[in-house]
Amino acid sequence: MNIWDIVIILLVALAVGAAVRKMILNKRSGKSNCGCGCAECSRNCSNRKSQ
Amino acid sequence: MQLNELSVGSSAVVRTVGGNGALRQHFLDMGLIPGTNVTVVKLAPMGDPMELRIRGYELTLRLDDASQIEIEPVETPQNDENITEKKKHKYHPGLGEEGYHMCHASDHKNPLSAGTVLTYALVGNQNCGKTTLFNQLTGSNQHVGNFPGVTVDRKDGPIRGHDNTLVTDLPGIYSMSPYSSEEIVSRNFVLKDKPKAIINIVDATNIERNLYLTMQLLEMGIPMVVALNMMDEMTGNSGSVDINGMEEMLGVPVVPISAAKNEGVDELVKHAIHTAKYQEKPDNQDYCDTADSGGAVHRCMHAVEHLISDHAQSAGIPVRFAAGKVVEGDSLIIDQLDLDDNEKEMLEHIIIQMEKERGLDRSAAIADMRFRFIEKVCRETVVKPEESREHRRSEKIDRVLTGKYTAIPCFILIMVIVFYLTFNVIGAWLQGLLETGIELLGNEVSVLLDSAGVNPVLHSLVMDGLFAGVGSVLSFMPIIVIMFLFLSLLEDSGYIARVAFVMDKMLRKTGLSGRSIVPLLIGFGCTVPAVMSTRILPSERDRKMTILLTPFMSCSAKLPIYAFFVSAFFPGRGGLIMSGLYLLGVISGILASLLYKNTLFRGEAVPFVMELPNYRLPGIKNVTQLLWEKARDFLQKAFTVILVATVVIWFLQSFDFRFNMVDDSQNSILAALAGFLIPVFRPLGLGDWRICTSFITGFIAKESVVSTFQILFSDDIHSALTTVSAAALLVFSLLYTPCVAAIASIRRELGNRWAVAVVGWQCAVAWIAAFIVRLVLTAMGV
Repeated sequence: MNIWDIVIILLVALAVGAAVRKMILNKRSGKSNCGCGCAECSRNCSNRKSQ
Repeated sequence: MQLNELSVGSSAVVRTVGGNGALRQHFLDMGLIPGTNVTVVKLAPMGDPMELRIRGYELTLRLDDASQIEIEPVETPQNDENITEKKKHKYHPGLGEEGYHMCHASDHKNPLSAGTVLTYALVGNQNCGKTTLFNQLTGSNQHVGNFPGVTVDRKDGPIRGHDNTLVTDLPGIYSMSPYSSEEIVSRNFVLKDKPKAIINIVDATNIERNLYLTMQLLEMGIPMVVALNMMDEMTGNSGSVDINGMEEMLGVPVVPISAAKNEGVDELVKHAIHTAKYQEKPDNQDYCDTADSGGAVHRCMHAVEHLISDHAQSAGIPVRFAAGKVVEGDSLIIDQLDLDDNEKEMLEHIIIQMEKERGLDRSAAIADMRFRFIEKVCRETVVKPEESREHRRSEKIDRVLTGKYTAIPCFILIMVIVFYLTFNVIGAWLQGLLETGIELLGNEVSVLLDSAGVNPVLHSLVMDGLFAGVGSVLSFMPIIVIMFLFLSLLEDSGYIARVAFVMDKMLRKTGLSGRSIVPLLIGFGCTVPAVMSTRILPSERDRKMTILLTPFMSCSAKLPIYAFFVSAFFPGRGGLIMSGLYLLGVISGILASLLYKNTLFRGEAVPFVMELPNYRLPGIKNVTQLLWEKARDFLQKAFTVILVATVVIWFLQSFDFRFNMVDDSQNSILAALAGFLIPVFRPLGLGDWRICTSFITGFIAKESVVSTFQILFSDDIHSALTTVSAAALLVFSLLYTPCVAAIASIRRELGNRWAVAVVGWQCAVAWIAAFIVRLVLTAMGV
């Protein structure tokens, strides 16, 4: 395993970690059911909260 | 004579309004009351519905519903009195100028304690500019459209520069008698959430009908400011409003504004804050006149007020508002008042006596009382504008777009142009450009990884996983954004309202109303907002049926799937195959609606009572903002859900259960997991575990189907699929269950049972359709 292998593993882990974190945050804040948190999903789920 | 018998261009006076229930109340609330002048403007191309001019605006109505309205034809319509000459010239403020605001003379009696959040309800008719004003007030970027019912749920935000405020933008309503579910949202908010003040936005160019809601809001006794919107258009067409006179008659501050041009908004904010802070309630709530038709309604209203005042107070409902609703017979309010049987009987006697003396039934008498007051206000304070440029322009455009022989060809032509430009010209060109860019980047990265001597497993993860998956999905962004651009242009211009008008008769044959066309067209963009927009439909039956049909409209997230397989199996026939798929979706939807109509949802579609807005040029800011929002959403989706799904799929197809990397993905974890679906898809010619996997990932997000294919098949897609099975796959992808976000929105609107049923039903329909396509193509020897 060379240094580039470690860099790539770290970068991919970072990207996946950030994506999962974002999805969890979206879900927890009620912005989304699916975790994606785009405007449609956010609107969809925040409306549910408001009812 | 009935209204449906009146010929185009003829005028009449309404004599009686038949029918019953919410629809009749809606007619009355829209101003169709005995004694009103109506003129038939035109009939829809298929002869039904009809467009009427009433109280200075255009209303559409089905012939069946119009047959319940009795009329007396008149030679020439009675013009609204020319009040210009009667007016004395007196000072009154213009846009953004200070008025007298006699309403703020309450000595600041009831100031709210410091730190209290000043909550406002932004209430007004549909399509009068509430969301535009909300965006100006709060600095937010909510989508604004030119169609009645763009806002289907409430949205909140503080006024810019005033942190202790909260404005709630509510769906547009015509009156406080709830007719559709969006109107119930607004009414419940005002009644139950008890905002500190109301900002009532009134379309100055259509003032009579808009003031009807104002009357009802004033009756609620909540501090209120009236924002007279579109004053620029009013004054630009030689109209004007005596602001001080109107304030005096309504008993609340009236502020002339132009929300679109941000004129007068600062003054409105100043008055809104003052009114809420000092809880300045309307000075006047008593609009019944002792001299009006012998004072029957006046006596009745006051008698009812006295009788129910204790009940109204304990139920927390404003007395005057409750009295009006009791007389109208609003069962929701009557139940909340918890009246004694004796009281109910007494009230009934009072109301019957009023009906006898007034010569009108209870609902019509109350509506008439309000409109009489409005007419008085308009007579005293409003110089009506001449026919506006916008209206003249709209009439000219409508001669073609809703003309008897031109409407349907125009609709087809417009849709063909939209699809052609999206798939073949602009979208396809931009997609090609992005695809080339991503490919070049991929090649460079691959060379870099090779030269750096990166481990083959990691090389595979980056190239076969991330680049193949996320990269392939990203390249479809332009097509999706362009599709939304066209849908937004159609909606913002006001054309979609015409489509509803033109298509009503055709849709009624399938058990739907013309208004259902709006959610269905939005469904071509995304199923989630399409499902939500069904709230503009006033009947539960129509809502359910329309929601169940939206999955048949091919959403834009399926475009990458079509584009991917078309380029692989049907090169050079992209436009034809894609149009065919869209058409197949529509045909399947029509067949499903006929099935629903004769099984689950027997009965008639909801009456078509709708206002046709003037055509407007879509605002560049609005459109740009929508495009940016869609692009950002797509990027967010690509780098969250799809990125994670891509890495998971790559991992599951690269390793076996002992976490050893496999040479042949046939031995991978994924192959074992997806294997149980193979028997289901084998009859469709899709009995490959990789195809089954892509369908599963497509449930998370439709774009994932393509990224999964890219990872699992690399370059040997032709080894697993024939042209016939590719066609079956396209049909299955078109019709099978919508993504999880869409199912979540269906669950919210209809409940768990329906959501599960939609998943099962769509999969079954998709399987059957794909099987038929396979059989037909095989029989044809393709």
